[in-house]
Amino acid sequence: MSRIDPDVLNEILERSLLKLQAGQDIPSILKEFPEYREELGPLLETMRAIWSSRGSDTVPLDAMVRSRERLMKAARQAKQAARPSWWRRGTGLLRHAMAPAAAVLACVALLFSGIASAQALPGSALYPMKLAAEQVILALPASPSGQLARKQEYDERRKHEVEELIQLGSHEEVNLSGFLTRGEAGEWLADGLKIEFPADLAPKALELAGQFVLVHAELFDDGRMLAETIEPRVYQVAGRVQKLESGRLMIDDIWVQVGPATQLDGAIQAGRQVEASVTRLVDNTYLALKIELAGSPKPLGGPAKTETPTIREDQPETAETPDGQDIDKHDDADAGDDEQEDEQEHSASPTPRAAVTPTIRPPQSQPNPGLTPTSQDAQDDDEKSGDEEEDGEKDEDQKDGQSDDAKDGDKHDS
Amino acid sequence: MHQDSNLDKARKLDESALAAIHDEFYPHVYRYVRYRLEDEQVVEDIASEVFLRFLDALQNKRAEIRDARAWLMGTASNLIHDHLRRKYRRPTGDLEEIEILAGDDAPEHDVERNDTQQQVQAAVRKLTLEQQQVISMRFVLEYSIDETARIMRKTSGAVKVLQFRALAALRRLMESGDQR
Repeated sequence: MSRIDPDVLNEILERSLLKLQAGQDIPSILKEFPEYREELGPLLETMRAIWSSRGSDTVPLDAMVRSRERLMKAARQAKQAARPSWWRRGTGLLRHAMAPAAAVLACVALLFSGIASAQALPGSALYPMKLAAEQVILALPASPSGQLARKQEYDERRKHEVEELIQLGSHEEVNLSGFLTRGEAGEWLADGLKIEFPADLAPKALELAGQFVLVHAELFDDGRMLAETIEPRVYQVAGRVQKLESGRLMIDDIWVQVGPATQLDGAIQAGRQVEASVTRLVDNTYLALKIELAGSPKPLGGPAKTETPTIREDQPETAETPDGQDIDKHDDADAGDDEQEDEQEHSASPTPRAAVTPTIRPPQSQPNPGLTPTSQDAQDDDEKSGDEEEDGEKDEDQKDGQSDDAKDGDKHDS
Repeated sequence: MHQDSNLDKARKLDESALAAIHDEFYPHVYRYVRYRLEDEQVVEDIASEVFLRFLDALQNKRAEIRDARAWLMGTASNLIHDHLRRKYRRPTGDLEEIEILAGDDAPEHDVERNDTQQQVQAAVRKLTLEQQQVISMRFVLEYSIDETARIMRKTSGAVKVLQFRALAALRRLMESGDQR
């Protein structure tokens, strides 16, 4: 065999391969390079054999979907780990500050720093102080209506912060409360601000459409907002039942509507001290999702054995459970999949969710049989409710800070 | 440009950008890994792992990724090679110097297969890891010499030489009928 320059042969092989890829047949290619026919021929045949061995180009869709889901899950975990939420930092700070001995000092300090941080936006160093100061203010004694007004004011602040961040082109984690609606083009709007939901949250968004919700989202510098969690925005109202009417009751000057799905724990009567989880309706009234007597026992984690609450008419000590009105045991822990740990009382599930499916089945014509409309004024019943009020601690009904997702322990071994 | 913008967003853990990159390159990665390995489950695991490593690298400021495809395919190659090395417990070293590293590949699967496709694949798996890599990139994925060189971190000239040797070695294996 004559001596062949390997570089030249490589070059000719490359040109031949291109011709073969372009559809030219091997004999015609070899004719173009007769002096290399002996070396080139077998190599081109080999390449053709490789082509024929490639098999199908199809990629199994289910494998691709699994891979993408794994990637998305890891991205969410990374996001969580990379940027500890200011929300968490703020509330964590508060929790420590609220240790009894330090509470007073912390309050004063936080109130002052709260003033200093009033204009702070998410992501800024002062922002956790702003949130903590708000929590201190919420912890101060106030009427239930005053408390509710403050909470709504703070929700409004969150929205203004988001609007400012959008204008600034910031990239931050944000919280936003508002009615979840659809825009004209079908886009999702939270309190009028456009928001996107990833595929895994879309069903939940559909489920909560039209409701007053709390969304935790990532705001991008291009103004796009991508939701990370969504849940109903629920406020806690604690106070004495002043009036009971058909379909609604007044708790310390706040009218709360009671729907068929409202969950009632215990005998709700005028004069009783109650705690209610309520959500906003579009007409700015409130709908009770759950009402319970203050101080009533609560299951602690899991299906703890508790006394089955019953609907009682106006004679709590003698009334029997009406047929068909037994109440299922409740799981107030509301095993939400939300990792967000916050100080707000939005852990109670709202009416439409399965977790609070009404456990009392009222006659269709009645809003809720658990409520007995009465003209009795609150003070008429003072002596009866007194004992229960004494030990009725306010249940913050907070969610435990659940970790995001179970850890992906399936690191593959290669 | 589009890929650059997706890369920038993916660095900020933008899920839609990450999903776009994943969906664009997953078929390349999967086909490449599948050509190199037989076990479907391992293929799926490695293809998926490539993207998890990509996510890690995006967050590592020292590991700057400029070309997502080159990075993904390079990582796929590394994972395949790690897998094969573990599988055969062969010493690592200059892969060019190891003429037949991947012999006896999955014997129970190859026995009695006389289908041409299987024969060629079996022969390819007897090549050195780098030869397998260049064959897969050039003739299975049909990447250009330059693209292959970028992924393999070699010069174009080195890839041409490697390709020539790979084809010649494969030819010899096929002629000798020693694919098992």
